[in-house]
Amino acid sequence: MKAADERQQMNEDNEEQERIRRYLLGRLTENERQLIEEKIFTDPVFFQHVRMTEEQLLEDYVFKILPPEDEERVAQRLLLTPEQIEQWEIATGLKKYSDNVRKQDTPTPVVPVSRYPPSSWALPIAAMVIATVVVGVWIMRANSLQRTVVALNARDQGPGQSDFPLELPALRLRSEPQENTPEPRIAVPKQVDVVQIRLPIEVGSYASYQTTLIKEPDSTLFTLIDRLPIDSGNRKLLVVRVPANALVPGAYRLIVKGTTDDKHVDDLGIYLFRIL
Amino acid sequence: MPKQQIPTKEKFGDLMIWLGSNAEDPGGKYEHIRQTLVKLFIWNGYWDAEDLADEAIDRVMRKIPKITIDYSGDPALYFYGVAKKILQERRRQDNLRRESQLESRLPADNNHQADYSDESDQKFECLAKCIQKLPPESRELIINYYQHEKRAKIDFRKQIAEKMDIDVESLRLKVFRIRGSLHKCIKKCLGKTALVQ
Repeated sequence: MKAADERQQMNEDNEEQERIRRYLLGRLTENERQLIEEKIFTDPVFFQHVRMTEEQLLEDYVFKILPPEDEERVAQRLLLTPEQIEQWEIATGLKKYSDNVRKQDTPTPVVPVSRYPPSSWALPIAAMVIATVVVGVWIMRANSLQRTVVALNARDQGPGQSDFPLELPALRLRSEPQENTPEPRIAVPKQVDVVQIRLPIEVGSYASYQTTLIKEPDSTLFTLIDRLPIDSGNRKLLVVRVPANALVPGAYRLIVKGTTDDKHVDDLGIYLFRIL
Repeated sequence: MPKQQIPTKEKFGDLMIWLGSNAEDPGGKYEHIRQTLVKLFIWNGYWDAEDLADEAIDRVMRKIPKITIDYSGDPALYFYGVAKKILQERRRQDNLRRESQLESRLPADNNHQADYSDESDQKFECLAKCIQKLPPESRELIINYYQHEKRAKIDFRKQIAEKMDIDVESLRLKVFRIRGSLHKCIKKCLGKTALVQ
């Protein structure tokens, strides 16, 4: 009975911890947010708990263990004030210090040369190691691309004059691509550093927009949230800047979503294009 | 948003009396409310949270005579109500700004990372000094804790917790406390360094 109670308590604690993380990342509904905020005001212990969770999120951001969509939210929501930047700096500094200590303490590993012929397990094990490394490298590249794209599209970085413009046809809201819609085929010149994907948006009734670029069939390259369209003549354009070297030849899918003032997310449509 | 006035001693005294009618330690209650207001505004995305918290306190202080008659309940929740109103006002202003494409929520010169990078060597020196001042077991824990990243980090954190015979959450709480004391020590160290220069 006692064990069951403990387990239930642990589950409740985990749920509360998850709710706090979602609050800090701006993922709660209005009602859920209000409940958390009321508790923050009336329960000092809970308030400390939320502060601690905030530091933990920053710490996870420094350790690069957050999924890309959370990583971007931490950068946008929890690295705003001098105090938060200081917390982030302390975590980064501690990591640097710890890495230095570890480097000094670790002797260069000596790889023993095997005297035995390779066993029948050698090939499958080698294949597994190679597969793990390939997957690991892919994940590392995806995370690093997410960070690069977030930095390229930061609000204080205006669209670059030397960007290669890639304007896609006007988005039909809540539409799936039609079978007979020709898929734009684009050749990016070799000397280009940044490709500027320009999406005409027909309605500006959303507080912000979210874009996700997927390399077909199913590799998510990055997600950008809280995007605002810019005025271009009498139209509104959503601009997404992408490093040219990330757009290797192949088919791509760009998903656009709109976020309303009350944080409701609507699917707006999908673009397909091909890089030659 | 109107600029808040400097509160008079009398108004502040009235606020303390009101807080004291609901709490044993009105000073502590006030501190908690102020800290919470600042954090609430930060967590809602406002970098000028300190000013907004002062605005909220000022609005409450101006209404104290009425509140003491009309309101019964935890004063902290009254402050929360006022803070929510301020947030609504700010969001409305932000939406208007967005529509006119004037500016974003951040100030134009908000570039903390660049500002801080100039001082980072000095900060790192202070951090190293402060780590040396920690008790040996805390120093060892913090150095171990900050090793590795990505998946290895998660596994390593579990290993440290198991070694210490505590759960990961308790481990993170310990590190949170050590980091808090380091933060204070670094601030002190940077203050001294600035004086020397």
